[in-house]
Amino acid sequence: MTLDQLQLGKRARVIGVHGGRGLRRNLTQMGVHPGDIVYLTQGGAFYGPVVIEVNGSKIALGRGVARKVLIDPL
Amino acid sequence: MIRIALVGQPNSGKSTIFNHLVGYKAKTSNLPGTTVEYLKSEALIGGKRAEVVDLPGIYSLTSLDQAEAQARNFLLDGQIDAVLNVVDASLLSRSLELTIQLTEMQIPIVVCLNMEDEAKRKGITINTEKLAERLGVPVFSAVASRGVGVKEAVERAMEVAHAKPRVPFSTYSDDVEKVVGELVKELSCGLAQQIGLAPRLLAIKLLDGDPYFAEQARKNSFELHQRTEQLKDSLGKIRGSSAEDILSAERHNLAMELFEEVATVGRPTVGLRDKLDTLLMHRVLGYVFFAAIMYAFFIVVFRVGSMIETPVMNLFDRSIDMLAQVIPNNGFTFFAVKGIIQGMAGAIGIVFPYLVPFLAGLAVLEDVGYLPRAGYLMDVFMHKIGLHGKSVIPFILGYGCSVPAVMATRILDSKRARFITAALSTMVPCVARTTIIFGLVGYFLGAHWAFLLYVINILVIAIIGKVLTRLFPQVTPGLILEIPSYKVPSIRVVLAKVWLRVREFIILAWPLLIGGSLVLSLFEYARWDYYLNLAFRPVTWSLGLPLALGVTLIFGIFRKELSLIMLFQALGTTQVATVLSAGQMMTFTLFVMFYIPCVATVAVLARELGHGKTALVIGATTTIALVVALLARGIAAMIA
Ligand SMILES: Nc1nc2c(ncn2[C@@H]2O[C@H](COP(=O)(O)OP(=O)(O)OP(=O)(O)O)[C@@H](O)[C@H]2O)c(=O)[nH]1
Ligand SMILES: [Mg+2]
Repeated sequence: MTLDQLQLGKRARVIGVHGGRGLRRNLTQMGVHPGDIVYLTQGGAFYGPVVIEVNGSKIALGRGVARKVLIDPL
Repeated sequence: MIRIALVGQPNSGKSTIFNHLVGYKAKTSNLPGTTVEYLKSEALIGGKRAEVVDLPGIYSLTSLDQAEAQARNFLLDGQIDAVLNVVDASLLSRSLELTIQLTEMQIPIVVCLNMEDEAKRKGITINTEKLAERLGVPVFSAVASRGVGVKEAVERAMEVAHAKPRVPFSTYSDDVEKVVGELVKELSCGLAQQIGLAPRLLAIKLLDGDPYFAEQARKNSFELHQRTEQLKDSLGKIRGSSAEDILSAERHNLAMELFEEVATVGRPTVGLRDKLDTLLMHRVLGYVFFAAIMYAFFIVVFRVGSMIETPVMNLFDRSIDMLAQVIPNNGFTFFAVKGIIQGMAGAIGIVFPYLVPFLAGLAVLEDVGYLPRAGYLMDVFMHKIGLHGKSVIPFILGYGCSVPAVMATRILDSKRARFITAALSTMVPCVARTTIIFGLVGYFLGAHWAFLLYVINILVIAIIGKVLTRLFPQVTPGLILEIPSYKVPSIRVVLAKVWLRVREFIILAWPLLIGGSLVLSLFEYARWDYYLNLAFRPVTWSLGLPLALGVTLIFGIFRKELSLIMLFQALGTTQVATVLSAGQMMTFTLFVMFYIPCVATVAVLARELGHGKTALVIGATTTIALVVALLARGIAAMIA
């Protein structure tokens, strides 16, 4: 499953990022690593970005980005 | 002189600490990516003079956008004596990954755990002694926004800058260390020395696949390049992943271990701030609040401004009447004094009343942390014009001034997004143009007409954005934007921030505004204004505006406010409604809203985008201004 499919208010464990090096690096340096638990706090309207909480910080991810993050819902 | 650099992740409070040391010079706001250009200043630390450098925030030592690249380059070859690593204590585990990388640089370092108040709110308690012991470098707690703990940390940074102690580094797992060690052997007396970098850092950067250092290694010797690739492969084989991912995971594990050892996470204090996002970032209500906040903002600025404008303008009007009784009203002295009074009237009576409340309002929105939320909300719409949510931030800053807006495009990831955003942000009405919108249309036709102008402006920008995306098609990279926690703005900081801009306005704009009025008044005396107006006649004629307005449009290129101040002068009255129709006011204001950016903006555009693209922006904005104003004239004629 990918992050964009996660339900609002649900938690999941990140398995990996299905994307280029730039995207992977971008996400890891902001604190999204494989193995981390993320929590979906907002799912935007009009198929917009989602907001996750991870390791205490909030990050907005565009739908396209969220679609590349593989997760395992908890 | 000792040079100390403030290094840390975005929004950790580096600029706040810098300002605490040297006075409010660097802009601060609750938004990752506020600082896009480094700022140096001398400071007296513990009785000794030192140079302090405020750098743009970096998440890691790998450069990404332009602002981050500048910070990294400065860090790696800026001849720094000590690093003050500013850490947001409420985000300790993530921030430690950068701290670990910084220790690898082998430069004296002091860690400043800032935002202790925020950490406490989240229920995080950090044992600083233990962290200092584990990292092997001094660690201090601070609340920079209140100036607590800053002095101790920088004084210690001065000491380590002198003493130059050896900086211990954290060690990775054995298999990784073995590969790093192999590469260090190759580098020690070669490339590392040549570029003046700690061999361990260089080795790790090469294994990390850092494009900049990979290029350096290739240029240095092909063997080194090959050896690096070989070691990367062997590391990857051991763990079944890429070398880069392995190193990143290693750092993450180290940081997590450290965090668990030194921090205890208790019960967070849940307050209003934590619930706010369920409303302000809500999928539907969020947009309602966004519109309401923007609308309230403009109404308040307009009401406050127009309340002050009336009495001040009356005062100046009366003094000009009085002047006419004292000296003959056709002599040189009369025109000179009249010009100066009119310039001052414009600067104080029209510009100031709108400028100050506007800046104060924007400062509060920035410090609360609303801007990244706006970026999140607007992401969907920005995708429609080929950009993403981060571009909203330069746009919003553009309402303040186009210069910082263009600079802020440095936080964007692609060249194309930078160009499109910079070009579009120059069309956002800055506070100078807001003065014209409020002082002319708002004042004489009513607030709702002024509001309509903003709506038209957004529509035009959207259309042009769409056209630009068609012209420069490319896949939009997705949004990745950190949303910092809400912070209570400090009145002192808001005032300092407003004063920074107001002082700049007094120093830079007043001479121009008063000088401009003086020049126009003298032109009137010598009857030269006629020729200037004639030169601009094609524009004023096609827009159906009085001949006398030509000169105001020419001077408006220097400073947008001049267009309004001179408008009163050129028409010879502050009772504009007696000489201009409603349609003419709308047409004039729409033209002013879009045509050629002011000289300061053109200068920064040329620096950031190059001359070709700047010329393109000038040509395009003038065309857009003409088209929009012509349409307005047509519609006004139809209604009338
Ligand atoms: N509550 C709290 N807020 C702080 C503290 N220090 C700074 N701030 C606020 O945090 C926000 C970010 O501070 P800046 O100094 O702009 O951060 P920066 O590290 O320069 O950020 P970039 O330039 O984006 O890298 C501002 O709104 C500050 O007022 C602190 O100790 N406690
Ligand atoms: Mg800063």
